Amino acid sequence: MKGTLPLTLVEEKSTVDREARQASLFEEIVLQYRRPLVALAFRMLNNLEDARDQAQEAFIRFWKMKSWPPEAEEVVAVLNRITVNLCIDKLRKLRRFRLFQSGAQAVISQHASSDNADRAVLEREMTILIQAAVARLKPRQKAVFVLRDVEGYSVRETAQILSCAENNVLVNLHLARKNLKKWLTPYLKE
Amino acid sequence: MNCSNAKKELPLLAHDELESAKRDALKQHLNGCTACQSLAKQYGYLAEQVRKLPAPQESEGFYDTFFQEIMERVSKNEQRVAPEWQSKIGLGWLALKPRMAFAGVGALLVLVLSFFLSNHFYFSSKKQRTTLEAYLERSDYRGLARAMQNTKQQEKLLNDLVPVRLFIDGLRKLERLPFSQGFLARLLTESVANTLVGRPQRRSQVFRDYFKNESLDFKAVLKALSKIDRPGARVSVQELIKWKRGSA
Repeated sequence: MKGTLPLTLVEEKSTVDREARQASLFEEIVLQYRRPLVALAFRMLNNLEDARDQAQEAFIRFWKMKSWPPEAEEVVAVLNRITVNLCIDKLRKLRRFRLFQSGAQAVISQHASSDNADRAVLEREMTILIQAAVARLKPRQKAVFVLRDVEGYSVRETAQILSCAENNVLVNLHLARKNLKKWLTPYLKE
Repeated sequence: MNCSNAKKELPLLAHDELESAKRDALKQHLNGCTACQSLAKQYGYLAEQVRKLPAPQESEGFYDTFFQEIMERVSKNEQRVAPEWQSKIGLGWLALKPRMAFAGVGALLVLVLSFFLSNHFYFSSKKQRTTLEAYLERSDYRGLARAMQNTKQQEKLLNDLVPVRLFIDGLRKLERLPFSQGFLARLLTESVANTLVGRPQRRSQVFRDYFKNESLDFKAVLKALSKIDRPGARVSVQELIKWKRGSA
């Protein structure tokens, strides 16, 4: 999700006007960034309803920030950061995360035992397998992987979003890619 | 470049993250290594599939009430009010931060419980540590000597029941100990010789003497103990004295 702020906030003398202006700005931001935020949360949580809920919560926290509104160039990074952190917390709390792990394992096992070695079938199902494998990643690795490899952010941008060092991003990225390769190797045939 | 290094670089090549020099070196290696070529293809395929992961399929009307729901939740948070009784006793903040409140109460309970438990275990363990059996078990003769200097503790220690075998073993260990740790042996020797019971002043003098260079006589004590050494037998110093008196 990348873009610029649609409006700039002009300093208003009247408090009422200022608040109305802020509310209007907030609505513009929500309308512009709701879809990318839900998509980001969905990649983290693998559940659309949870993704919607976390995206709304991210907007609420964004609205309640003390330094609201932030600078225009910071909006995207801030929204991403809040969303990813909320999703990581959610993953850690959800028992479903463990079910995802076992569910993902079941998906992979099912396909492993399938007699259908047709490449076209595996191609179509690769998406499901990759999603199942990504669901198995630890929250931090998943966050780095989703931001870097799926959403296409640079290592520096990913580090800014996650408020960590670039080295940390590289390490988690390496681990995520290594794990995915390991889990998906049986299905990556010539 | 060897295969081991190449395998580490393959994921970076798949995501176009290699510097040009390393990329060229890796490609040169791949030209001559079929195993790494195969791996490279797998990484490339995987990277491509990941980039093509589909966006979520939202149903129609998925975003219709998205913003309204946000504003409802915002106003609900702002309107959250504590029950009257909480406000009266100054706990109005509980309504706004219920999770923090529960966490705080829970932490306080854990703190209080751990305080009482640690005191209980400390005192109970302290109590256990001061029996004669405990001193002998850990061969703490110096500690025993210090405890025996206290009249009340001395009485208790002399009456504490100790397995005979532990007594015998303790005395045998004492033979190998330096002079200042031979207190118990001397104490038992003197007790058996009937010099301490009922004579507190003599006892104090003996204690002082115990730290001088005196010869030890374990044999008498060991002989006395070995005669009553049977499974499960427990004996106190006072009993040894009575037995010795009776046999003298």
